[in-house]
Amino acid sequence: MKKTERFLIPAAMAVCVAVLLLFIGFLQKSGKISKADIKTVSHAVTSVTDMSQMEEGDNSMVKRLYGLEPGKYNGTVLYYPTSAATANEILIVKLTDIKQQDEVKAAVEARLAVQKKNFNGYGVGQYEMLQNSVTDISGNYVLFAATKNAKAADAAFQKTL
Amino acid sequence: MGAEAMTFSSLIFLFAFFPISLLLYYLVPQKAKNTALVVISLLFYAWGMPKYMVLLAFSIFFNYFAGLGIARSKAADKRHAALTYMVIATVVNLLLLGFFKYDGFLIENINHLFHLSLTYTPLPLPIGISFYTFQALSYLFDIYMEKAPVQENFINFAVYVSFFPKITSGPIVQYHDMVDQLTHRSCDLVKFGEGAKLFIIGLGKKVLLADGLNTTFTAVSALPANGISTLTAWVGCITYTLVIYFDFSGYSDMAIGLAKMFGFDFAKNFDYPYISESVTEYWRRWHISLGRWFRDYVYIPLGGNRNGLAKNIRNIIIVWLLTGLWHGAAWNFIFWGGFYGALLLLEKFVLKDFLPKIPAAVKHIFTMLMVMIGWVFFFSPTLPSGLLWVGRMFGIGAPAAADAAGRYYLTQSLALIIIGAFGATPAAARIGRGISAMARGKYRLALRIVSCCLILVLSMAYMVNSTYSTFLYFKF
Amino acid sequence: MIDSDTEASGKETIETRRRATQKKRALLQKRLSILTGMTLLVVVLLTVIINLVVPDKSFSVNENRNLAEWPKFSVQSLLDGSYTTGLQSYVSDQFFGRDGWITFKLKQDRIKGVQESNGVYLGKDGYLMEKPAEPDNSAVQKSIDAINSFAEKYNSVHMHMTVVPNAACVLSDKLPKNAPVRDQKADLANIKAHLNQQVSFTDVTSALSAHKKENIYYHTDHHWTSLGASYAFHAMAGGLGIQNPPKKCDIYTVTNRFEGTMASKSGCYDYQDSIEVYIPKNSENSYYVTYEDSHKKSASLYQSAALKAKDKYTVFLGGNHPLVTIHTTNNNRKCLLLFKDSYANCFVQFLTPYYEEIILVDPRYYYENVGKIMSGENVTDVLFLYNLNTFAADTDLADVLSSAKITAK
Repeated sequence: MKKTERFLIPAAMAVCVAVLLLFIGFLQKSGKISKADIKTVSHAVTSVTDMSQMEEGDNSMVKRLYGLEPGKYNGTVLYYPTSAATANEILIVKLTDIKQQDEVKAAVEARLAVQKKNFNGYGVGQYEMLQNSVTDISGNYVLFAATKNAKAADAAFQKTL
Repeated sequence: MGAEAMTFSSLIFLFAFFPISLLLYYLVPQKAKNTALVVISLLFYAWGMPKYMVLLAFSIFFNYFAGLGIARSKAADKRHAALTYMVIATVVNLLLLGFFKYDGFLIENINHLFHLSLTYTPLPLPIGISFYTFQALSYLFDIYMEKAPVQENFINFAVYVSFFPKITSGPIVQYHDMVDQLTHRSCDLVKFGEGAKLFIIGLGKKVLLADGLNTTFTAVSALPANGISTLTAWVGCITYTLVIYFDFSGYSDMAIGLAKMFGFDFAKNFDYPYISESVTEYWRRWHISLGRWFRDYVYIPLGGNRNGLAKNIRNIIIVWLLTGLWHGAAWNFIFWGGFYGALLLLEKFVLKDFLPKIPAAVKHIFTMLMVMIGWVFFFSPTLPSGLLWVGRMFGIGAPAAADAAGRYYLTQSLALIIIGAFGATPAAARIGRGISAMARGKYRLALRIVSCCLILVLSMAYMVNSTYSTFLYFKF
Repeated sequence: MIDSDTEASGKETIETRRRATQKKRALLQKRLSILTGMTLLVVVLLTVIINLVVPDKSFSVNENRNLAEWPKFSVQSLLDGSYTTGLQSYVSDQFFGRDGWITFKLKQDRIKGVQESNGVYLGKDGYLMEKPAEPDNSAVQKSIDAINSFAEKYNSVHMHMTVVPNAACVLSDKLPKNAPVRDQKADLANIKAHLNQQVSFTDVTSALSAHKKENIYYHTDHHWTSLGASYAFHAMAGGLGIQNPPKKCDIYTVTNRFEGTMASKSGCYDYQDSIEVYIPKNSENSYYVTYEDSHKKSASLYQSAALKAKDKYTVFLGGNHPLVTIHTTNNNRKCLLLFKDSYANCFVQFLTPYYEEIILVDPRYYYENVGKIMSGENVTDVLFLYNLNTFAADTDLADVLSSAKITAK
């Protein structure tokens, strides 16, 4: 009994520490502050995306579509659909404070829900694109990509951070 | 508004969490009561920052096994192994605390010293980490020093670490003081009522006194530097002195009261500190559980006063710098701790023979002056700003002795300052008891009911009005 | 011997009596403790029951916001903390008698000598005045820059601007004694200093101060009254190119029971305001109002339905709309584009005799391209009319004005 205990107790402690380190690693990633410039980040994302069905939106468009106040953040980049029949959209927000993650996330989720409702039963391809959209909240950057290859956009996004 | 942990003075706690957890606890059979407590406590802790429950779970599991390791080694007479377990476990616990609380401070200072630019990811501070880490360490040290037997029962240990009344802001209960109550405690209507009384008083202290004075303090501290007259500086200092006392002691009262309602007896954490006649006495009356922790687990193991004068002074300095550091990851807190350490050394070694000759009133005033100046360093964001504030209080660097803003904030807070200053002394409680004693028979009972209802109802108004009013010691 | 006996028995009775009183005291303390515990439980349970019984409210009139409803459960929301936060909001928002508690808190504060509540000064004569906010200097600078660029671009159009000081500045004698208040006059001077020459800025502070003993601001609301607006109008008329406007108007009191935003914010309902409507005496011309967002047309600037609601100030134009157009039978070809916040709502009633068309744009709700209006509607005058508290934090005006830049290419 003593022999197994001699092994089990340090093993249990080591497992605890390992789980803890994993958890801290996860927290670090979701809290990482990137110094990247928003123009660099958006350029990286748009260069791997088919932008033909999107046009750049200004502050009032961000406000209108997401209800977010661009002045509160360190930069916003929006590409929204040129025609009402498509749902291609990219939103990148650089936060000034990590606490803003929640509100931006809520705004993106709300927008996604509205778009899904609009396209449900309409364009199957568009609806699918929305379902496969990526919302990536990484520290002080938020990406929302409803594009044909959202994963590639996300990968480019992560790389530039 | 981001997620925030539950405070005892919130509507959700008082009118949802509290009644439900009481009901659950008292419905469940005796054998399951500790399990119920763990569930309730984890839910309480997870409220607002659910991810950080992983840290609490880690602390429970890791320290449980570490405790077993220490005890098994001791039982097998392997003193070296026991020491290894204890040291490793202590280091891991302190690293955890250090990582979440002091990483920014450390890295910024390293960068400053060595002209580097290391980066770190600022993470929100887990609620109560200073408190439950210190309690876990208390367990490890108590097992090692054989002040208490190892806790074989995982649930019981989990109750010790996670017990919700004390997890967010203390009191820091040492393991050997609580171990017996983990398995042998009871609560009858009388004890429940005693807990309720403490809770109601604590609620009133926090909501009616501390929060009210805090609005004045917040407004004063937001004034631009050149708009703070001597009067204003004093108003800020006095209100803060009262706020932190009523906030912290009120919260401790609520914690101890709640614990009592679940059958646990904890020692009081404050004993009218503002009537102290020396700084030495003050620290025996303020945040008693912290002082005891440092005394029992740092000062005495380091030798205390048993190894000569030089080591005694060294030990005192170490304890006080650590006490300051525990309060916050910034130089002004360390300075604050050192400030008190210096005063204590002064009283203990230099003024020792003079003190009994000085009249009590003079000693009291001087002590309070030191305490209030200490608070200025506590609430100032940086050391220089603290020095400037103290300067203004004594006429240095203030645009005027008194100005309109100063008078305004004084009139705003005067009633509460007077009530607060009076309430910080035992005289208030004595008068309360005296008035109660004047009533006879059933009028006395009625008076008790009325005063309880009064405090509760008055507090509810403030609780509804503020969606959020954080207890100051939360992020520790 | 008899002595020691009686002495002994005497001591005994003292002892027994002492013990008896101690027992009585202990029993009393126990009773008191039990009572305390019971009281706490009863109060808590009663509150819980009342909260469960009282139906949920969806909207708070006083706070002018939707009240939280029971949050939707999902594993995700539980993990990121939004579910528990939602529960917390639900419990606080749906607490019974919420508004009453806030007023009760105010009463407690006043007894303690506090003269402000939730950012509102409880002034003399029932005046509730909002604490002027610290301006967001970068936002103000952005707004001024946008106005300047706009003026440069449309240099054939007359540009005017007025920023109205708030009650705490003009009615400073009604503030609580010694109350610290931001120097809005300095803020206004700062704005004027940074404006281009092309934009003519009228500071109405002195015009309003001259009449500060009159009812120029509402007691319970953050807006100015129609009387206050009329004095400002007379001060601004010359700049707007309006010659000799008649001093008198037909005045109608539309309500005596107005409890405005400051009453809601502070919880103080001691005073009720009256709202007056001013019809200029020279307005034989008629007009109709078009609300772009609802596509409704009206023959009056005033919406009497508002008088039955809580925010009676919305009798003027029905509140805030992104775009409102007023066409009059005036054939003077003058078209005014008015960038505004809610202060202008009761100001417009003085302008109708002097323009053929008045276009009101509220940048907080307007998402279109204002350049289209400038080119499409033959705008002859532009007026920026804001109150200082709103202007000091506004970022929407700059956004709307710069949208004109993009299309002009």
